[in-house]
Order: sequence, then structure tokens, then C-alpha cells
Amino acid sequence: MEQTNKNLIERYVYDVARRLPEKDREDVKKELRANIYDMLPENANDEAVKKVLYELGSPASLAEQYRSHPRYLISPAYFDEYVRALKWILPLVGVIVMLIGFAVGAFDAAKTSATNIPFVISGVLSKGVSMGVSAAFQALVWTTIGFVIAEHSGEKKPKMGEHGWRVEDLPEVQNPKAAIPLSEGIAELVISILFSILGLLYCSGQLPFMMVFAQGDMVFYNIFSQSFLNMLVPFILVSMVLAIVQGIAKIKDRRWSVFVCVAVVAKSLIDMAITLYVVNQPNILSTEFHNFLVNSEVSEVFQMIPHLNGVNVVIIVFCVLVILGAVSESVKAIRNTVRAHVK
Amino acid sequence: MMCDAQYNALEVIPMPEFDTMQNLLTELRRGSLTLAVLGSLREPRYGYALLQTLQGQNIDIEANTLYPLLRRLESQELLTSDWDTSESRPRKYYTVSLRGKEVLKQLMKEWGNMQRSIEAICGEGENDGTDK
Repeated sequence: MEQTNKNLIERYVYDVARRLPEKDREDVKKELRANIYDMLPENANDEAVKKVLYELGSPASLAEQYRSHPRYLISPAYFDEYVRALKWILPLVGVIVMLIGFAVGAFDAAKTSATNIPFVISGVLSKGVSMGVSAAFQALVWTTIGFVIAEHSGEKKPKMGEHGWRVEDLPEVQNPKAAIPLSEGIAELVISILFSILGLLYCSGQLPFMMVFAQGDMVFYNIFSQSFLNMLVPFILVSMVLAIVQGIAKIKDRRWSVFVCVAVVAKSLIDMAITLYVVNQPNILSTEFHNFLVNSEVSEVFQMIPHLNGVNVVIIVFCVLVILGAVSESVKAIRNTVRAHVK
Repeated sequence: MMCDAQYNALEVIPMPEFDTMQNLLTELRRGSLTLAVLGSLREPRYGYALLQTLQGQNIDIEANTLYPLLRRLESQELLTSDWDTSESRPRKYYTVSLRGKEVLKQLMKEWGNMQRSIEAICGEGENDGTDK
């Protein structure tokens, strides 16, 4: 036999064996080599060797046949859960970190006191998007690693009951009307966090409220008193946390589950309570803005508004609207959830 | 004329359906290969000799299926093996084990039952299952 033929066979046998577990390699090599030589005629030429090797198929596919158990990074038993986890972890992490990125970009811009608005906006956007994308990739990698560890730690999924599963665990058939689109959760999360951050910046005096006079002079006025703004901060934080919980609930479940319903109802009722408490505070307006109002023609309009038990009717109407809004929001959430759970 | 047209349509199987047919045949044969291998190894044989024996019996089996199958059956203790180093080239001879013989007996019984059931369902002696 020619040397090149022998070389080809050795390379083939090696390529198959290197894909197998260490303990099987030597034996498979020895046997496969013997089988190949058996399949060759005496004094076989190059062509005959190639023919036999092609008959045996690619080393990868032959090695696959030799392995008794197929190899997986994540086996079918876990793959379903893996995909389901990625579906809510990636958008959630991506969006939250993107918002944090926006905030970081805004603070960076504020620190350098940049005045070029388009430049600041593009800086903030690129910071947010790049942080969001890299966080989503991080989340992908770590979720995958988590599942691979679960797969290979030898810890098999605990079997439930005597049959390995239980009829009681079957999910309810879902009403397609009960679905919440992913975009809804993300949009609500983005908007509420954005406004919360703006509110916090405003309360800490980073965003002055601007007033323009008819004369063309630009004057900065603090509309609200500082004591009022300081009181507002914890309320904004509470509202933001509730909004984040609601957003997570919607992104995770994507239907009117009990979790989503509780989150929505809690958020709308607590927001309502906060709003009612806040608008009925005394000394909301700063003294400078109060003086400005008293001295302007607007004050006459204000005096014309009737009062009820010493409370401005405008505020009463506003409170009623807030209560109606919160109650209708809660009722809608409960109705959607009930409809989703009733066949 | 109608019959002729239908007959021709069956003869010329389009490509994707040909693949489906191949997959179905492979699936159908997979389990029976174990029977053929266990049955042929009542006396010791090495890989390539067994391949030729089986192909001589019109068993449709490829080398790249048989060699891994032999190792798998050995790891399941249905076969025993022995390296013969007396000749110029060493060869691995396989023989069916006691356990393998017992398993083969049970599998053959099941094979017979299955064949009877399938024939009862699909109709004995029919070449194609299309008309009765």
C-alpha cells in the first residue's frame, strides 16, 4: 500500500476518534482502521481508498453514530424553558439598561454643561442604545450559561408525581383577547421611567422651569416651593417602582394574569392616593410665583372661581377626575383578567 | 386510459416524495437491523465480514451504520468481542452473548406478533395498500 493512502486512512480515523470520549478513542481507532483495511482490495490505489472513505461518510457524521447519546448544549428538555426565559429577559434587561444609559448620558451632558442640543441628544441616545444592546447580549450569554450549567450539572429535572407530570399543572387555555402585546409593557416602562427621571431631576433643581414674558424677556421662575418639591421625591420613587413592577409583569406574562392585574390595580390606586394627597397640600407654589400670580391679571380670573368649603372647585373637579380615572383603570384590569380566566 | 395515467403517476415519484419514502424506509428498517445483526452473530464474525453477510441476505445496511451499531450492542452486553491478532492484521470478532440470545428470542416473538397485526390491518398479500 502506498504511503499517501495510509496517511489518508490515518487522518480519517484520527478525525473520527478525536470527536469521541477519551476512553473510546483508542478502541474505535483500532477497529475502524481494521474495518477500512478489510474493505479495501489488496494493493489498493488512491482512488479505492477515497471510495471507501466516502462510503463511510464524513468523520463528523460517523462520530455522531458512534456516540450513543446525542450531545446538546441545551437539551430539548430544557430548550423550551430557555427560549421562554430569553423572550422576557432580553427585552426587559435591554430596555431598563437603555433607560439607565439615557440617564447616564444626560448626566454626562449636564456635567460638561454642553449647550449644543443636537450633540447632547445624539450623545444621550447613543449612550442609551449602546448600553441597552450590550446589556441584552450580556443577558443572552448569562442566561445561556445558566441553562448550560443546569443541563450539565447532572441535576435532572425533578419528576412530578408518579407519571412525571401532573394533569393539575396543565395551563388554562388562553383567550387570545387576554394577550398583552410586548410593545405595551415596554412602552409603559420607558415612558414612566423617563418621566420619573425628569421629575426627580426637576425636584432636585436640575431643570429650572422657564417662563417667557410677553415683553420678550426670559425669566426663570420656580413655580413650586422647595419644601413641596422635597416632599414629592419619595412619592415619585414609589410611583416609579410600581411602574417598573407593572412593566415587568406585562413583559413577563404578556397576558392578563393575576400578577399583572394586581400590579396594575396597585399602581393605579396608589398613584391616585399620592395625587390626591399631593394636590391638597398647602404651600405648593413658591413665594415668587405666588407673588407673580397675585400681581398679574390672572389672579382676577382665579378669584372668580367659586370655592366649596374653602377648597377651590378646580381642585375638587381634578380630584374627582383622578379618582374616576384610577377606579376605571382598576375595573378594566380586573375585567380583562376575569375574562382571561373564564372560558 | 385513466388507469394508465394513474399507474404512471405512481411510477414517477417526484423528488421530495422520494426523500420522504427514503426516510420512511430507514425508520422502518432501523429496529430490524438489530435482529439481523444478533441473528447473524451466532458464530463469531468481524465487522466487514458481517457487512457482506448481511448485504448478501439483501439487508440494506451501510458500513457507517453497522460498525457503530456493533459497538452499541456490545456496550449493552448483547454482544461479546475478541481481538484476533493471529493473522497479519488484527480483527475484532463479535459473538452474540447469552443475554443477547435471550433478547433476540423475545424480539423475534414481538416481530412475529407485529407482522401478524400489521398484515391483519393492511390486508395480507396486498402489494399496495391503496385498494381492497
